[in-house]
Amino acid sequence: MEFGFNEEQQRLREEVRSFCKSKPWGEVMSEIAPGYSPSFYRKLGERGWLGLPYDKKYGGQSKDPIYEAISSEELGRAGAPVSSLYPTNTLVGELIANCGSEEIKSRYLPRIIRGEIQATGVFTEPEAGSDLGQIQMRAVREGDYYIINGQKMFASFIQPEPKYSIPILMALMAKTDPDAPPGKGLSIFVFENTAPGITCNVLNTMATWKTNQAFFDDVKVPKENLLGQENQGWDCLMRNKVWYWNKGRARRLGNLQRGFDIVVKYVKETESNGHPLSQDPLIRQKIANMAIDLHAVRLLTYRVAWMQSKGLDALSIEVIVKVIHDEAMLRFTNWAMQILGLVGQLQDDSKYAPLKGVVQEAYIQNSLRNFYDGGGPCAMRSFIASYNLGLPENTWGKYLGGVE
Amino acid sequence: MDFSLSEEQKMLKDSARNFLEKECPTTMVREMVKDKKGYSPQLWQKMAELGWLGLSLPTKYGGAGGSFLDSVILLEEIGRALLPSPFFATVVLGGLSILEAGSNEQKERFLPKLANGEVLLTLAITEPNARNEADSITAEAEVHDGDFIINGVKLLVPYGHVADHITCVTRTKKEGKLSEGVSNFIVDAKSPGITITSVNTIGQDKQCEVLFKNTPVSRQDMLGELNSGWAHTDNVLKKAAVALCAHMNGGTEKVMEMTLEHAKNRVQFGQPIASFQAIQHRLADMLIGLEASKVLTHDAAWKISAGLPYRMEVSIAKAWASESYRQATWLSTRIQGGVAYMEDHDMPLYYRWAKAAEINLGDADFHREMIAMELLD
Repeated sequence: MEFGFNEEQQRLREEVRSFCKSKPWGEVMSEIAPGYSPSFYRKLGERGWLGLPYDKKYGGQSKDPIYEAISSEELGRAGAPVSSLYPTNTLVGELIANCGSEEIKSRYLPRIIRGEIQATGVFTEPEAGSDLGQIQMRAVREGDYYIINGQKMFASFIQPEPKYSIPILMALMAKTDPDAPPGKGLSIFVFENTAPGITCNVLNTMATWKTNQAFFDDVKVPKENLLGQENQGWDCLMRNKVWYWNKGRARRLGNLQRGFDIVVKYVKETESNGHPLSQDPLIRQKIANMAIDLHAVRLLTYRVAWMQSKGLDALSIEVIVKVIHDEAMLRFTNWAMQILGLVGQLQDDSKYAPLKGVVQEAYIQNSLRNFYDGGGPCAMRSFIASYNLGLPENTWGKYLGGVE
Repeated sequence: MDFSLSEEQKMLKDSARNFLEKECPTTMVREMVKDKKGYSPQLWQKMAELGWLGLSLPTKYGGAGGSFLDSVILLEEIGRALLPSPFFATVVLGGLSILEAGSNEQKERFLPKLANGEVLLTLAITEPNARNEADSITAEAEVHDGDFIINGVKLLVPYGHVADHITCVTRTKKEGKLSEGVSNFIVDAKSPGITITSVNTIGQDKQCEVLFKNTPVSRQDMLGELNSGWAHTDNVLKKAAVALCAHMNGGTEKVMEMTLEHAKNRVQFGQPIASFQAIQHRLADMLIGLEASKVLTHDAAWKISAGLPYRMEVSIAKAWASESYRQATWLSTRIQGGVAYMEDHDMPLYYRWAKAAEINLGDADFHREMIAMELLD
């Protein structure tokens, strides 16, 4: 056992940290996603940090997943606008790298690695949420094309916005064999959101950013844009699920650490009844609880990255840390609100708002955010029961088959 | 970075599990609750032969030269079996006290005998005021003709009734900073003026009240320097807390496995209750608590083994383990229902132990305050 980082890993951490120190963010468009900045994104690409896990032949660095966890954690800790890292690099990049044809890989991976393209997963449907295997969207082969029809939910980023200075690449799942049972007969297509026939209905979230309900009417996609084999999309998605979660997790771990540092500083510097808040026993217990959650999430996050680097089944641990982390986000923001007390409700435009209102903002923006990535804690617990403990299936364990 | 056990650690774990399944079934655990000694000297000798007692002691003192982490792996199995033995008292509390502060002469005198099972040790720290903090040490060691005389009451001394030597934490200076007036002595349990009485506890383990009345102790039996004992004791308590976490994690794992078996086999409402999501989610919660507890414990043990700062990590691990073990017993009894409340079921053993272990060496509130001290003061 050895829980430390090697020199090269520590160096990467230092480099990312010092790069972020001057906050070289450029223009941030928070109405699209909580912290979205194509220009900063390209800067990361220039430094090679978007290509850490990818093959050198596409411009990547062929590093094991621990490296990307480190850079993601540091970006999160610095509060860098990198929400776009998550869908692009994590999910779509890995889907392409692990399941795509050589043609698809050499077409998209270099652009993803350089930060020239923004990608997003388009999976959820009105009747396919936690039970994603129920996807109904149809893709029918006609000559050299697939014709796509149906509806998607929570398809973030894909609305045609003049503001975007970066093209949007979608990885979309649709049914290619209508007679197949749920979780089977599904395929993934990779194409850009400029394809004719896509209509978006913008959905406002509880926070400042937006997502979309999207309608696809006779959208034509060249057959070369099928990712991997027809009808094998589900297995491909499942194989990449750990990547999908863990990389986003490392970034949000950094976010948690950032929030923690802010709150610790605040309770040390803020007086109440002549004493610093940090001397209040109830507040001390809350701060300690935060430190405990943070350390547990950090160890398990890196354990997953390490397991992936060794080719072990990391899914069994990833689902566990996902539950702890998802719920820790809620607990954290809640404790922070409780520590601030009455003035904690004030938003950033009030001169009385403690910490410029970031805590109440985080309670709305971040507390629930994790739940919506790949299933909430209830679905996770059902999955743990079947996958880790061998109990009767109630969730997507039913459709598993291709998971190694 | 490497989160896996070494080959040797895996072998140790497997062989310990096999050995304890054979030698320490729960019938034996129950027998030992009633037994006066509270352990089997034959089994203790076998443990010595297996090299368990000297596992983490340096080879020059008759040990195997293993790391603290190795002992932690072994303790998971001991906790899983609820092995009734003076292992924790002798190897963890007693052994660590001598390793931490003992002179070379003291180490040579005690550690080889500890490793081969000839001597039982324990640590007497807690007093009736029941706080393991420097300020609450009142049992006094007074200078007398160049040596010392101890007077005071120690409580909750594990396996004190069979110990050959007791490391006693005493007050040697009342003025100034109280943490700088504590000294530790290795006291022969047969010394004059010592009265040892077993006390009954919720965990049904063997703990004792130890009275010292004008008990003489030689200056040569002082562990470390005069008035500098607390720093050593504090380190021992921290390391012992990690050892206890490992013990607890072993118990949590066993509780989870028992519950899982029950849920798969118990049919109600026409199906095994394991098919109900209400049951599944509780089992998932046990596993979530356990996996985090294990990695937190291993991290703290690794930091101790690697000579890195460990205070914060120890308190995080003990705060987590204290809650996850108790929580597992709560969830388990809920799932197993009335049968698990019957005395001849194994659950009461774990239910009792989980509560006792939660309290011992600091509960979650205590360790959260320790964490806060590290972060805020």
